[in-house]
Amino acid sequence: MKTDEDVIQRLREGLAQDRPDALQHQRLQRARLEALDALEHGRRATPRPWLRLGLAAAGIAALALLLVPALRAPSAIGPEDAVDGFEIASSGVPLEFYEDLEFYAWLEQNGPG
Amino acid sequence: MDRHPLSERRRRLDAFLAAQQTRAYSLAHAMTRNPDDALDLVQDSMLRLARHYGERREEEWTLLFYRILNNRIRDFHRRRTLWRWLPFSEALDGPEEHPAAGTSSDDPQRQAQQDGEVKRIHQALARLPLRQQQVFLLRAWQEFSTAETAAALGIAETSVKTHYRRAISRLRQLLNTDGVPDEDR
Repeated sequence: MKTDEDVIQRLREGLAQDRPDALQHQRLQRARLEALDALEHGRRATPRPWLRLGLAAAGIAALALLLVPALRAPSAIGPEDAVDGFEIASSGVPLEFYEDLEFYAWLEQNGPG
Repeated sequence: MDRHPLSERRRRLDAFLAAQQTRAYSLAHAMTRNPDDALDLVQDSMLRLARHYGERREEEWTLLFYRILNNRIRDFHRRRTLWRWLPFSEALDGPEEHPAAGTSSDDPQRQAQQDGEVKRIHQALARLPLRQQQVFLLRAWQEFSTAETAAALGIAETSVKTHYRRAISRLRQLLNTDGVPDEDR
């Protein structure tokens, strides 16, 4: 090939022969129809950028409203309770004993003897 | 933003896509060398154009469409590169080369010649870096200007000129005698 134009011309002629066959043409037609449906769907479904930004900001604010009070509220279990709980767990006494503690106290007061 | 009624936009977009589909397919096929992949990429680009840019002015569609298509082709090559690094990928990877589709000709010999020429061109193009392929095909095949090519690929006009010059020079070498790239002889 002598010139750049020859290269370009040959490539153009070659690629022009590469056309989709009937089956591939059908696939392209289907793709086109799907794209046209997407045009309609896109109009309805795609929110505007400012709307998306607003929704994201509202979501973050709602999450903050939920989380901040929960984090700031005093815990229902105080430190003393936690120490008691640790002692009970590590004492080796069966837990059933603590569940029946009221019964044993009553037994001591009203039992035989 | 263009505010035509939906039916009118639909008609215009249909005409636009119908006019582009064959050329877009040839471009994608030249850069993927696989008709199924080329069809997938064109289909995906059509969908994205309609979904995200369908309401833009009609004059913008061509650049947007080819920008989407070229980005999808670039992603396709990145995925393939990554895929080749994965173990066992060779066994699952489909054949890269398919016979060119071509128009069905009554003369088998002529058809074979056409397919051979398309294949030679695809082989020669495949020897170029992807960016050179993109620039060359947009400039020579799509007949985009330097500025349009730069806009479609998101690169500087000077880069377009450099890539184009190098692509032509290399293709001239590769297709110099009987069109078979030297390395494939």
